Order: sequence, then structure tokens, then C-alpha cells
Amino acid sequence: MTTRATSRSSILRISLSLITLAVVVAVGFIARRLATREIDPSVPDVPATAELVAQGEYIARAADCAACHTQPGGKPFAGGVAFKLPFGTLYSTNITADHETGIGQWSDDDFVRALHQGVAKDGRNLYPAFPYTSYTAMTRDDAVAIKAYLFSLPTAHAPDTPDQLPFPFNQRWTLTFWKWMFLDEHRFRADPARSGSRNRGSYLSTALGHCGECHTPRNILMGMSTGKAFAGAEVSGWDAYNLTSDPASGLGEWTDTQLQQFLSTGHAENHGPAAGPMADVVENSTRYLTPEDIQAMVIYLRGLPAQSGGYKIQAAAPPASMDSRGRRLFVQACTGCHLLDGEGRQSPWAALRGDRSTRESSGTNVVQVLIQGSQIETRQGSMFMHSFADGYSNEELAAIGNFVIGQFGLRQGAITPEQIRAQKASVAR
Amino acid sequence: MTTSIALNVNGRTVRVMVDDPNMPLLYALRNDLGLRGPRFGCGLGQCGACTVHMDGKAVRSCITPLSLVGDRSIVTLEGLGTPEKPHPMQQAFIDEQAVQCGYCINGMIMEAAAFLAKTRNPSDPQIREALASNLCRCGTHLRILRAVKRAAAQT
Amino acid sequence: MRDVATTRRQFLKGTAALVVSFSIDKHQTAGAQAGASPKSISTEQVDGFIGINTKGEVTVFAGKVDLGTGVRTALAQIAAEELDVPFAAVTVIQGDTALTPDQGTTSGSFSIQNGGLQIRQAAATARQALLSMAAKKLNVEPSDLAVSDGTITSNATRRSISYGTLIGGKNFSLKVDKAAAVKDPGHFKIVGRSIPRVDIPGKVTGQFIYMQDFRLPGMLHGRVVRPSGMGATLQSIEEDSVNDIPGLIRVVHIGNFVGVVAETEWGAVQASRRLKVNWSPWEGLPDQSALWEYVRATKILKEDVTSDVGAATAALPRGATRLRATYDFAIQTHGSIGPSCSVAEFKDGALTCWSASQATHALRKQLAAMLSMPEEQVRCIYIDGSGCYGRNGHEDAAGDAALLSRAVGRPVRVQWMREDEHGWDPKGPPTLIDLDAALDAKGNLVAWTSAFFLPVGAATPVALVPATLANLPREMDIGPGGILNDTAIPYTVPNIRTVAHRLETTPLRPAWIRAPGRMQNTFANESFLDELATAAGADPLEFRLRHLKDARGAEVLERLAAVAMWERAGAKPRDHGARIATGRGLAFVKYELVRTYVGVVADVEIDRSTGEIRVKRFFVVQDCGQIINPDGVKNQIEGNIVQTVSRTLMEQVTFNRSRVTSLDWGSYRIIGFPEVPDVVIDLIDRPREKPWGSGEPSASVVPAAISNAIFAATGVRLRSVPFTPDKVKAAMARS
Ligand code: FES
Ligand code: FES
Repeated sequence: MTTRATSRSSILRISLSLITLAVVVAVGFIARRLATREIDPSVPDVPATAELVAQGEYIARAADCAACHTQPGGKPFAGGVAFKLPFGTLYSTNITADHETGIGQWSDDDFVRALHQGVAKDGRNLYPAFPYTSYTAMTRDDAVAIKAYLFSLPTAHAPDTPDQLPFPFNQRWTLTFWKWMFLDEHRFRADPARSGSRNRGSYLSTALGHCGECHTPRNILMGMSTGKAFAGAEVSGWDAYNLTSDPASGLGEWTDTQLQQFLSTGHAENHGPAAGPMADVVENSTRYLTPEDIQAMVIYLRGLPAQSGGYKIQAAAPPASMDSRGRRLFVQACTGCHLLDGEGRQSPWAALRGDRSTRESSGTNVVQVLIQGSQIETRQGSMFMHSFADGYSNEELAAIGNFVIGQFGLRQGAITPEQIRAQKASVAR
Repeated sequence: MTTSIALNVNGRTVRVMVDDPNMPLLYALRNDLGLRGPRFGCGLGQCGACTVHMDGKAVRSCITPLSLVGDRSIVTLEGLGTPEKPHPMQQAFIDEQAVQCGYCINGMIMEAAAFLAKTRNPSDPQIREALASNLCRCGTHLRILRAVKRAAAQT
Repeated sequence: MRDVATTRRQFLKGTAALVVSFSIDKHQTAGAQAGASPKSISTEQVDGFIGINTKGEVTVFAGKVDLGTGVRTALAQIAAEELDVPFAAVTVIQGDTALTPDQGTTSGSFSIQNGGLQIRQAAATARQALLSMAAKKLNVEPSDLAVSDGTITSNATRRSISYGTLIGGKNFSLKVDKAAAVKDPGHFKIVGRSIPRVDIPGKVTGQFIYMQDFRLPGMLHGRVVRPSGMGATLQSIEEDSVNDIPGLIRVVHIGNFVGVVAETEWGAVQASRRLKVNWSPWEGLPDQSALWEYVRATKILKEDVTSDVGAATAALPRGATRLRATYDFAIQTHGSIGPSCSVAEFKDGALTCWSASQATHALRKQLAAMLSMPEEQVRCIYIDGSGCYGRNGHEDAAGDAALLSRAVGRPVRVQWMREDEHGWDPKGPPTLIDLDAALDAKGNLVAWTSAFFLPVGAATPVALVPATLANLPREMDIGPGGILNDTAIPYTVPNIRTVAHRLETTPLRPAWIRAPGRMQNTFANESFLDELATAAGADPLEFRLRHLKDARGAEVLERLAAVAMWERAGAKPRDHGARIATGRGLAFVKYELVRTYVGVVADVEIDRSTGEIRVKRFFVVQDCGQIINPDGVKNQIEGNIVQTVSRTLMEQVTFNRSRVTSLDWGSYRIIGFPEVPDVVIDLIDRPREKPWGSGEPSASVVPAAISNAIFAATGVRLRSVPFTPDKVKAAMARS
């Protein structure tokens, strides 16, 4: 046996043993998980009292169902919102009480099972874009309340848009294995060692608000890596920032009032406005929460142990070279709303001083806003910024972005025209 | 149903009845109060034709919702001065004949007046930067710059 | 100048009800139906142009309107001068089809040149008549009389009589005497002086009433809901999508014209945004990235030969040096800062329409045709709007208001939104020019040929958008403006042939924008001439003088050389190392080869690393004959230079296969204060010459001067307007 042969056989032997070990561990893990699943008992439908419907409306907002099930300007909850994923496009379903195209024929049990187990009435697995990995922790009462609210609304006849998923992703049965690994079917358990409002905050942020679905990094199988919960992740081209108490990249140096202001209005003193998907979350969900619930979420988030989340935040120092082209373009194109001194001209939603996205040298979110614009519905009406993708070249947008990072984030911007082109391309796809 | 909103405009408290409290301030000033100073140019915050002062700050009334104004004092071009007693900036624009069609001039005067109130004898580049987001299509820029410099020299 | 309101009322004698809207105090007032004995609006009659009241105050009725060019003041100067009345005693009423004669569209810098001279002749006839009337009254010889400040005095008897007593409130009933002597320019006291414009105090204090400020009691607000594609057809309207809009009156739809009418303006705006309308897919526009292939492939309906001397095509190959080049100029929009606006009142079968149209008489015909009404039942009244620089959306907004007012039976105000103006006002057509010329051994021009790809049509009325959408009677042919002008060149060349291929169509509805055709054609001519001067190793100024047999033109170029300190050396050495390259370029035009001369020098800087161009300074020498108001002319020149630097460096309409996509100031960028060049102006005044126009000529030379300056700085020829940084970098990389 030549050395090459022996080495080949020993590699074979080692890898075989490794595989068997992995299988044993996995089987053990899955067995334990399946054994400890909390299965909902079957309970007859409850009558939709007015106060249950009201509770359901509040919970549906906290859970932000509209973000995925209502198209902008479309009929409420009629579905059809597209989810462009790396491997294809999914469309959200019609969850109005329409009997033919909605969930009109679903019982409470059917609805609760969908939220807790990610299984539709006909038994098909639902894709995890529907965040049942978080909603599984929702109480049955809250789930039933949402259904009561949905059933109280006018129905919409809107057949589901077929998903465009290549093989094997269109094989729903494979999701069963995915769920074994990433669906921990347990209702929310209050931690007796924590205060009531911290537990409420935890329930709101994990079970309903499902903040982790965006802010927690995912592993290659698209499951949430619970070890790095809320440490920040990239979602459809946007940076969902680190929410842990890390002072540099997390919420460490935010004050409680700033956090409450941000969640309830979509902007915060010295921290800029919510933009892109976060603007939608505030618009559809958090701005409707009671001050107590907002305060509960703040307490919970404050308590998250600090993690850097892989962000390399430079220390704040006015950058050596301020992009003069960027300044010239900014004063002409942007000071109509954003003044040079970082204060908003007409409204606080236009104040950029200290804006979180300007502290990232990579400027990912600054670029997203420049090329997509941003919009948020507030009590004072719609605050909007239109896209600058058409009238400005990639070089000009990079210059503006780097100027904004220097002027308001006090960091050295590193945006390149190539990055602008790439982010434009990914938005277009 | 209409809501009644009190506004402090050109030194007087006035009330406007509006269907939508988030209607842009511009529409209340022009249609409910009959003012002609602030003009509609784009409704997008891009041209400056609608500029008024809100507590001395130059703001674009086309994207300022009524509900954001509160009791802050609004001053429009009419409140700045009259043909008989013009504000120094208005007189400077007359002296320099800094008008062609004149549609952008409200924005120029209101922005420049607010800028001069907080910037002493500004340089030419500083004036150009202060007016950089105010658009004029007639090409009256050079006269507008001369007018602002003339007004700056007097204040 | 007295206020217009009272004067307008006097001339609507016998008007039943004079409606004064609540927001107008003493200023312009709402006219109502024409009075019992309608005032003459004939250009042949003195009464068409001039009215004098008992107090001797003069009203001038002008068909030419003030688009922000100061024409109102200039026409008052002409009348006051010719009638020997104080300037302050003259009021100008403009563009009211019931009161003012049709002097043709206010465009092409003809207001003074034509409009002003007609008024001057009418005033001269009036003065002559008043003198003979006074002579009879005072039974002295007319030659014994002198006029000052509207009072005629007999030198012999020292007795005097005023215009007011002679003719106050009465008609002249007198034909304009073409031979009536006009005043000797040597005695001008008012014309030629920079009299401050009368409209400026009101405009800087918010008192001035623009078209956008005009209100009528009981007036409703309308907005048009635009199709998703220029030629899309209406499929369905979900009217319930606007049920919750407070004060909504009605959704109006006639063919593909869809509009909303509401009690409040904000209600109309919200209704127009929320109304759910389904349109057919329509992709009739060409692919913009292949625009010039599309233009070149467009069917040619006819050839217009604008100069043909010698045998140019044959002479070309015989030249010692031969040059060919192609130039193009993008589609651009007027970009009025105040979008178009109009108020229309349809009542008892008659239509009154207030508009800032520069051609109210033509608009009257278009509205009458669209609504199938007799012209006598339509009255258009001009009110100053925002600067329009050509045929923008004013007339279309008037059509919108007329359709909506007829539909709801109440006065309707339509204010176009930014996206209406950028998306739907007529566009300056794309222009493509092929040039081919030859020099002899000594570097003189021997042959010059050029082919201009221009849409067919001239400065005819442009079909109204609402008439097109509603499929109502309208013009079928396109009106891009007098774009043939300045295809021929002012230089003497033994063999020259300039031809325009008149194309059957052009992507977007065309119309004239400041110096239409003159600008695009002069850009190609004066840039290509510079290429030839360089090939001949000659100084660009000297090369032009060598081929220019025109004394007044040569004087402009000589004076330009002095004012701009132009060194007549050949091309100066360029250092390719510096990041910022500087250079100067020159251009000259004889406007339409018949009038105003303009010579300019542009000093530019180019940032080689970014491709950005900064125009630092423009020197301008202009000879436009007799100058009525020098400061007014300077104001126009500064405006032309700055506006055209913007068009040259940054402006182009963008569109997809369905519609225009540059719908706001973020996507259709124009110049801002930091980029505005200094402008040094030297006017040649010729009081004894005819007054030529000055609203446009100096615009036409700007693009070539910048292109030639960039060549001087970098050796790179930019032949495609606008000169955006990307194009500059690409051209530098190629060279
Ligand atoms: S109208 Fe407000 S900025 Fe243009
Ligand atoms: S003066 Fe006409 S837009 Fe500025």
C-alpha cells in the first residue's frame, strides 16, 4: 500500500467516524426536541366578542401582520407581498376571512397551529419567511384574538400569487427537517427572576415583534443563530443593526427616552430617523403600542448582554478629508430637507445628526436610502424622501454618502461607486 | 369632519378650518388665508418657492404639515415688508432689479433673510451655498447674489 | 403705471356685472362678458392699441405679453416716448382677447421688434391726430404746437389743451398711419433709459398677482389623473377609491382624459393621488439608449435646403484637409419653477379662461375648436405666470380647466403638479447634425455641408393634451418651433450646402424652448467651425473674422476680443498633468442670419479626475440695434447665459418605453448657485437702428463656447449635449 493509498484510507476512516458521530448527535437533538414539543390541545372556536377583536387588532399590530400581508395601497391583509430571497421569490397569502381565497374556513385550532407549528389547514408546511419560529411562543389567547380581528374585517377575494421557487426549494416536505432543527415549539415562559415588564418586553420583542427575525444573524440554513441573538444582521440589502447593549455598535449609548421616542415615532434625538424596513415596522406596528409596552421592550433590549456583532465601528473623529464634491452635491440636492447642521429643516424625521447609519464607514443603509428613498406614515402625515438613483451617477451618490458619513456620523466614509452599482443591482433584482 | 387649527401668521393669530390636519402649511397659507408670498413650485421640498419663516427658521411650507406648526410664529413674504415699507432684503432686490419672472423670488428672499439673521457679512461662496437648494429657472442668480450682498452690507 | 383693475373696468363699458374675487383688492380684476359696444382689437386701428381717459392717462393694449422679460415696462416706455406723456401715466393691458389686438405669439424675441414697433406707429398716429385736433381747437397751425406731459401748447398764443380734454374716454376711430413720423431717437427721453421695472416691487413683497394666485368666488379645484403611458387607453376607474375624500365634487372622464374636481385644492390633490385608474399597457416610446439610431432611422418627409452656393459636395474631396463630425443635443424641458395653471369658467354657453399662455389669441381658437364652440363665445385673459421660455404646459392646463368647468358647470382652477409639468409639457426635440467640410492648402474654408435631422413643422399652435386625451378636435401636425433657423451659417464659404431632413415624428410632443433650433444648430456650427480652425492651425477668432463679410458682426468680434482679452495666439500648450485643466472658447451668432449679433467667450475649468466642468466666466458682446431698456437687456443676457449653461452641462429628459421618468428636480437637475458663472456684458447701442430682440439670441452661443473651451483645456471635443461628467470622462478616456 503506497503512502498515498494509506493516507486515503485513513481519511476515509476518520471522516466515516465523524459522520456517524454527527448523525448520533443530531438524532439525539431531534429526539429530545420532538419529545419536549408543546402540542396545543384542540379547543372549540371562541365567539369573537368586541373586546376580543380589539385585543386582536392590538396584537396584530404588535406582531406586524400587515407588513407582510398588506401590499402598499392594497386591500388590508389580502396578501401578495413579494419576498425576494436568494433562491427565489415567495408571495404572502391572503389572510382575510374570504372563504375561497382567504382563511375563512379555518378554525381557531387551524390558525393557532399555523402560528405555532408553521403548518397550513391542509397540512402543508409554511415557509419560515412566515416567522412561526417566533410566533410559536405566542399565547393561544393572542393568536385567537388576531383571528377574531381578521375575521371582523371586510373579506378580500384575492387568489394567492404562486411562489417562484426552483427545485428543491419548492418541496415543502423538506421543511419538516428544517423545523426539527430550528423550530423550538414552546410557548413564551416568563422568567420569574425578571420583572413583570421585562418579561412583557421579552414577549413583545421575541414572540410578537419577532425583532430577532431581522436583527439576529442567520446560519447558512437560514436558521436564527440563537447564540448571537439581536447582534445585527443583513436583511434584503439593509443592515439590521445590533440591538444588544454594546456601546459602540449596539444601543449602549442610547438613552431610554431616545429608544422610546424611536419606537413610538420613528425618529430619535441625535439618532436620526428610521428608514427602509424599520420605517415600515414603526409605521405598521410599534407606533401603535402603549407607552407601557414600549417601555417594557426598552427594558428588555437594555438587558441584552453586549455583543459586538461583528461590526467594526471607528471611533468618532471628524474625518481627515471631507468629500468636497459630496458637500457641493449635498448642499444643492439635500439641504431642502436636511440642513448642514444635522437638524431637520421642516421636521425631526429629517434630522441626520448622529444617525446610526452614518456611523458605518461601509454606509450600506445610507446607500439604500439614497437609491430607494424612504417613507414613513406618522401622526403628522407621510414623511418621505424620494430616490436619487436616476438623476445622480454612482460617483456622485458615493460622494454624497461619504460626505453624510463624515458630516453627521463623524466617521470616514468608504462608499465606492462600485458598491452603489452593486446595491442598485440587488435592489432591481 | 373639519378641524379648527390656530396659527400665528405675520404677527396675528388666525384660525383655519381644514379637513386634514396634516395638510401642508402652504395650502392653508394660500387658500385659507389668501396669502400670495409662499408659492407652489414642486410640493416636494426641492425648489424653495414655498419658503416661510417658522420661528425665524426658513422652512418649506409645502412639506410642513399643519399639525407640526403648533404655536410657532410663521412669517411670510407679506409679513417681511410691504411695497411702502420693504424689508432691507426686499429693498435690495428692488435696487438690484433682481427679478425676471419672479416666481422663485419668495424663496430667495426668505432663505437669504433667515441666513443673514444668523450670519454676519458672509462671503460670496457662503451666500451661494446658503441658496444652493433654492432653484431659479430664469437665470436671475447673479442679480440675486448682488442683492443679498447689498443687503448684507447694510445689516 | 396705474393699476390695471380700474383701467380694465373702464374699457368694459356696459359690462353687466363686474366680478371682483375676494382675494383681489385693487390689482387685476376678473373681466366678465365683453361689454355692449366691444372695443376695437384691430391692429389697423389706433383704438386697437391706445386708449386715453379724461385725466389724460394712457392705456396700451398689447398682444405681446410679459413673460418676466420686462416687456410690460419696455412697451410703456415706447408709448410714453411717442405720445410725450409721463411714463407713470401709462398702463399696459396684455393678452386679453376682448381688449388687445392679436400681435402673434410672444416668442422668438419679437415682442419689441414687432409688437413694440406696431405700438410705436399707433402712438405716433395718435399724437399726430391730437395735434391736428388741438390746432383746430386753438385755431393755430399744427407746426406752432408743442407737446409735453400730455398737454399741447401753442407757442404763439401760449394757450394749451390736454389730451384728456381732446379725446378723454372717446375712441380715435382712426386707421394707423404707416407714414406718421416717429420721434427722432436723438430726442428720446424715456426710451433708452434703464427705467426700473414696474412689476418688481409687487413681486418682492407678495402683492403681485400671478396666474397661480388668481381666484374666483365659488371656484372649484381640479387635477388631472395622468395615463401610465403617453398613449395608454383608459380601461376602468374605481370611483369608490376616492369616496372618503372630503369635498370631492366629481370624477370626470372623457375618453382618456381623467380628472377630479373638489371644493378644496388639497382635496383635489389627494383625490388625484388616490383615484385607482387602470390603463392599457403602452410602450410606444423608443429605447432612450438607442435614441440617435431612432432619430437617424425616422422617416424623412421632405428636405429643406437652407443654403446652396457653388458645388459643395463636389468641392469636398478636392480640399487639402477634410473634416467630418456628428453633433447631438438632448431632449429638454421648459422646467418652469411654477407649474402651469389656469382658471376657466363655463357659463351660459360662453367660456372665459384665464391663462399665462404666451398666445391667448391662438389659445382662444384652440379652446373653441376643442369644445366645438364659436370663437366669439370664448374669451382668454392673460395673467403673468412663472417664466415659461417657450410653449410650456400653460395652454394644456387651460384646456384641462375648460373641460372640467364644462363638466361641473362651475369655475375650475387647475394647477399642474411638478410631475405634470416635467412629464407632460411639450419638450425641445432631440437634434442630430452631420457636418462635412474641407480646407484648402492655406487653411481657408472651401466647402461646408451639413445635414440636420429635425422634426417636420414650425412655430404653429401645439395640440392641447386634454384635446388629445379626450380625442376632441385639435391640430394633427406637430409644432416644434422655427427650428430651421441658423442651420445656415453667417460665414462666407465658396461652396456651401446646408440641408434639413424633416422627420415625420419625434419621441415626445415637441414645442419651442428658448432659441429653438437656433441653439442646437449654432452648437454644431460654431463647434465644428472651431474644429476647422484648429485643423487650419488658426486662432478661432481670427478664423471667424477671415470668413465673416459683415461689418456689424466683425465689430462684435473685435470688441469681444478686447473685452475678454482674447490672445490671438494659436492653441496654447496644454499641461496634461494638472488635475484641474482650464481653457477658453469662443462662439458667435447672427441670430436667424437677419438680426441680433452675439459674440461670447467662455472660461471653464475641468476636473480631470471626476469629469466635472465648472464654467467660471462668460464675456458677452451683443449688438441688438436700438436698446429700449439697457438694464432689461442685461437682465435677459444674464438669464440666457445662466439658463443655457445649465442646459449645456446637466439637462436631459429621461424616459422609458411608456412615459417620461424625469419627473422632479432630483431626476431633471438644473443649475444651482454654486455653479453659476460670472457674466461680463458689453452692449453695443445703435439708437438709430431698428430695435432687435434680446430675449433669446445670447442663449444660442453658450453650448459651443463651452465645448470649444473644453477642447482648448483638454484637447477633447464634446459633441453631445449635455456634457455630463460621465460623458466627459468617457471622451477623455477615448482621446
Ligand atoms: S414648493 Fe416647496 S420646495 Fe418646491
Ligand atoms: S426669476 Fe423666474 S424662476 Fe427665478
